[in-house]
Amino acid sequence: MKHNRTAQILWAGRELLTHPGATLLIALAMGLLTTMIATGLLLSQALTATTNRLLSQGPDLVVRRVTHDGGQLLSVKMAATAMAIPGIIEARPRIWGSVRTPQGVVTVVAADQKALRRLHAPASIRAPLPGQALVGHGVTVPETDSRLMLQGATMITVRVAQRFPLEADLVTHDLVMLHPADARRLLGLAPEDACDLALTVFHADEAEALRPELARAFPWPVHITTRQDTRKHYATAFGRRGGLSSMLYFPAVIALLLLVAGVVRQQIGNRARIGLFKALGWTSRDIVALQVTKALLVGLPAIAGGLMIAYGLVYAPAQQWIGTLLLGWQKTAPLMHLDTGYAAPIFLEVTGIVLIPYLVAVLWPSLVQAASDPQDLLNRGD
Amino acid sequence: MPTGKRSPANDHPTADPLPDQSLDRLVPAGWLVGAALAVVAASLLTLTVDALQGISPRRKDAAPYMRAIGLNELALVPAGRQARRPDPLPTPVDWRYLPTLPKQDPGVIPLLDKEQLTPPQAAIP
Repeated sequence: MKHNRTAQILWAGRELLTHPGATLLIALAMGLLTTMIATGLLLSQALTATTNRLLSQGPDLVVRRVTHDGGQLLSVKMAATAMAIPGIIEARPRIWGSVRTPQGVVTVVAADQKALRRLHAPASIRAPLPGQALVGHGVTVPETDSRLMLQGATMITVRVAQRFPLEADLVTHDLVMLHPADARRLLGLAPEDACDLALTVFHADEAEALRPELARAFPWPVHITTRQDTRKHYATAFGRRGGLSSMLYFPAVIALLLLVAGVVRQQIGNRARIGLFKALGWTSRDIVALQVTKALLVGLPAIAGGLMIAYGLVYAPAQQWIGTLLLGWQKTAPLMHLDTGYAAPIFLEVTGIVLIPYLVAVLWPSLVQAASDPQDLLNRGD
Repeated sequence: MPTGKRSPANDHPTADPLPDQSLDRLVPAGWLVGAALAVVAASLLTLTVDALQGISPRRKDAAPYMRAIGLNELALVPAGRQARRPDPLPTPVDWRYLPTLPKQDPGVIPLLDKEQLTPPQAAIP
């Protein structure tokens, strides 16, 4: 029997509507399964890409003085020692640390006037004056006054003069930038002291090669962290959390197996109907085409919908669930402005993972039934 | 109920009534196919927008602030936690936000290695 293609698709839709409940359940199951798998993969990809891109703007090398007790302060004059090494174009003595506020722990950093002046950003940022603070959106202050109490080596109170813009939240969410004099007082540092040196090299690829020279240049042992080390640290941290989230894949695989078993059973249950079609003159090709069309009409939109939900969960502007659920934030969480542009391979991968077993589950019984005798199908179906 | 008997009332020719189109359910089937195509098209559109965003540079971004602040850590994990710091060494600044906390995170394995889990030995006379 020769069928028009459009008519065949409409007929497949009609067949699906004979069991709307079962059709809807299969679509929902496939959609949820797709969302579960795709969300984890998209999130891992987006976090890695965003972290790598942002870290590429940070220092190439960080040098710290170490003793048998751990880290030690170093003199700001050591920046000149680092600058004497060929290939190093900038050395910034850093003053920073973690201190306590009544609302929680924050990272404090001393403002670098030169770096802030070079800042090319849409929002105008002014370096804080003594007694002032520039804070991220996760740092809360009382509504009555904008005073922030910081408890470090000593306790100081500063006035929040400005906030970092929301688009910088991934870097500045719980950051407090202070005037260098305030930061030193808070962290208990002498005027010539710094926590470490942040170095920029002319060729970023040569940073690793500068390690031995740097180690020789300083009069005491140093610990040197490259950008690659920092990337590894974050990759390990994401890997641990990703390992936990991969526990979700076990129920997902079981769900996929149950779905496949359900579809096979449904196909076998349609024997009498297929026998009837064959008796009415449908060819084996028509029957297989009908079953595949039915499967695609359910599977493709379900998977597409699941992928879009996953995409929305990961990339929706101002979403905070990642920080709250996965990264340990409680009262506030940074707005995740994650890098896009990596969805295509993951969309294809997840579509393959879910659609191929489903199509196999539909196709195999259909081929067996298409090759069977119609009378036999009618008898066994009854 | 059909009896099989001929009725004179049925002898005169009448036009065949139009088949009830609601029974073939092709119209709802058309809606179903249309909805399925729309969802797939929306997904493809999402993918296209994503690819275009990946190509074009980001206008509002945290990268300039990262350079201006000069730290090599991100606010992905709350401050004061070990996972926040890429450098595993203790710093000259005391990171503990409570003086009662231990100086370093003992971790799980050293705790498990303590003597509490070793079986009690018999007293030697």
